Amino acid sequence: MNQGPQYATDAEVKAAVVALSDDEAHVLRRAAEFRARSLVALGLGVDADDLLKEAIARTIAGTRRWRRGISLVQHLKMTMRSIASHLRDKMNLDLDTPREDGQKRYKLVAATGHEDGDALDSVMSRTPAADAVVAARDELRLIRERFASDQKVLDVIDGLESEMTGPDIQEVLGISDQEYETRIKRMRETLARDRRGP
Amino acid sequence: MTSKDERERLHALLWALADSLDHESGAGAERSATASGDADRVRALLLDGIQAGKKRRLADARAQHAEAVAAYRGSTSRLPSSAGDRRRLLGQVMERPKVKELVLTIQHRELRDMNDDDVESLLRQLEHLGVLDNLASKKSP
Repeated sequence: MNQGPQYATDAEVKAAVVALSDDEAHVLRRAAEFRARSLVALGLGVDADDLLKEAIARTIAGTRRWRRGISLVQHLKMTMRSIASHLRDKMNLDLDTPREDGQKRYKLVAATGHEDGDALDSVMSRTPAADAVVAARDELRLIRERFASDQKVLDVIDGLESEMTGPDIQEVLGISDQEYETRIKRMRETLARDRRGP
Repeated sequence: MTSKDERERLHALLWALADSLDHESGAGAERSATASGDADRVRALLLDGIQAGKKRRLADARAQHAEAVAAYRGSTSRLPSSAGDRRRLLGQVMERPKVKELVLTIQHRELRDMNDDDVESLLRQLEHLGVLDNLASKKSP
């Protein structure tokens, strides 16, 4: 299919997939895992494999074309992020909906419209809100316990949980960009290793 | 600590970790001993995804075509009821050079070489394209 000179053809996409190095494949796998886990935290049953496969499927189907000039790895990471962001928005967490007792709650409302995400949306499960809250609380506790002896990482976790940006966290903690990246990488490696198991 | 729901806090943490991989191209990646097998699996998964994408594209194209055909068939025709009147109408339509060019492109033959079914079919296509409306509106006083 001719997708225009600025976009890669099907053959180019396939060739790029076949030519992926082990390191590049690993980065894609990690990105898919963390992205999917972030959605699971909200109660969406998204699998890392589904997310990665959906990203390449949309690339071929034409709804997320691969623009020449960036690597396939970068394109797929961006596409997975876009897909996940869309799914997250569809969840529509309503922070301002009060309960009868006056306490705030988070209401998960599934959007009624469909876009090209039907294929992934149709296979996703949704965890009841109460169960998702318990699961998230447990996972956060486990993460903090894991880094109980690493205050430097715990400081970064505090910032990230509060949706602070990397530069903001660096400024608050008075650390360099390199130090921040080191802590992030340490956290990422540990959590990925723990997930994989022995 | 904020009063954010635990789901949002965990989501924010994991989302940021996914974002932190934006700068990773693969060099020096954090790999385990089973990395090579995992990489093969990722490549296989992506190749499966390519096939899925092709199927989806084909399904989308078929759906669009079906929709276009349904719209065409469902449109109300205001063509004359007799074959003779339809042939006369087509003759009038083809007096306009651009329309004649269009007709020849569609049918690859002159009016005299078309049978009644060809004439009716062609007029319906022209009607669907709005050519007859334009002709009618320009002829109206």
